[in-house]
Amino acid sequence: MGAEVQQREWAGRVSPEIDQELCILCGDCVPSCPCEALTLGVDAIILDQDLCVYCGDCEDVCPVGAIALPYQVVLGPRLADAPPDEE
Amino acid sequence: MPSATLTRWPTETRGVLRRFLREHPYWAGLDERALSEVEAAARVRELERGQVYALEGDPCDAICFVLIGRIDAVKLSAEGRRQVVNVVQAGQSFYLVPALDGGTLPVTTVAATRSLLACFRGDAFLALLERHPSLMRAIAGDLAHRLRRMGDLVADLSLRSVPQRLARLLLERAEGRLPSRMTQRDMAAQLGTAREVVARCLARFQDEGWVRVGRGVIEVLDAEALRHEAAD
Repeated sequence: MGAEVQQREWAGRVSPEIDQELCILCGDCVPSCPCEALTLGVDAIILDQDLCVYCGDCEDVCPVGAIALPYQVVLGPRLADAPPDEE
Repeated sequence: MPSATLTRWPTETRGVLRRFLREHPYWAGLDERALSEVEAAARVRELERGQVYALEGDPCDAICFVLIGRIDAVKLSAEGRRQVVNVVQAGQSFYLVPALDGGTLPVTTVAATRSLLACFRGDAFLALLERHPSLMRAIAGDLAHRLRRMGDLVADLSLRSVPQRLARLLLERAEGRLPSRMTQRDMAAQLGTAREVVARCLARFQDEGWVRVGRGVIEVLDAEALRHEAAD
């Protein structure tokens, strides 16, 4: 149960990580986004978390690896909560 | 669209080359004079995403270093199927082998992102190697490392398919034997394949009900099925 809540909370606030130091503002990620979640700001790429569907297209086109979409690989709630003898 | 006034995409590409030559371990043993010689021998080339740099089977006219971006080394089958056999990251080189052995290009190279390359003509690069033993040692070390990695990969590829290897990777991560946080690109690099292949495999695993791929989380729902897949 605890594991399930933790995962949901973690998943609820996760969004692509944009390293603004690495970003060279080339803007290639902006048109790559199928949801128009990215815009080119004055000195940074701006992400609209509500529009983002975490598809990874922006990660693919970034020439300097400034965008990362990490995944936490976990056992599902049923497996995580199962007693050891049921594994 | 990219804005010419805002972008930090380098306009002074020779500056990127100079920084690369002074920071990359390949050139660490070279003094300023030698670095200037290397710099003069290099041609900087910019590629748009998707642009083909060279085709498999062509004669090798240059060895290239990726300054910015990523290059896919691909093999094309007779049916037109495209298989990414290597992803060349910034700081890494490609076409070193044909430049050294005089053979044709073993793979087609395509820019996976907008990219900036430093290219050396094969004969000019060989001349640099002959003049600078430290560079020769660095290249030999790099080749040895690649050969070792290739040997491991060939063994893994000949024994296991990508889905098998991905199933094993997911189990290792989910069960806490290895750090559990990684991008699909990390997974692809570890498995020696392309991110698209990882995404396709994950979609299949999800359709089978073995995993659930959510926003930033991959939940293993049926570890037994994954173990079975990994062992097949």
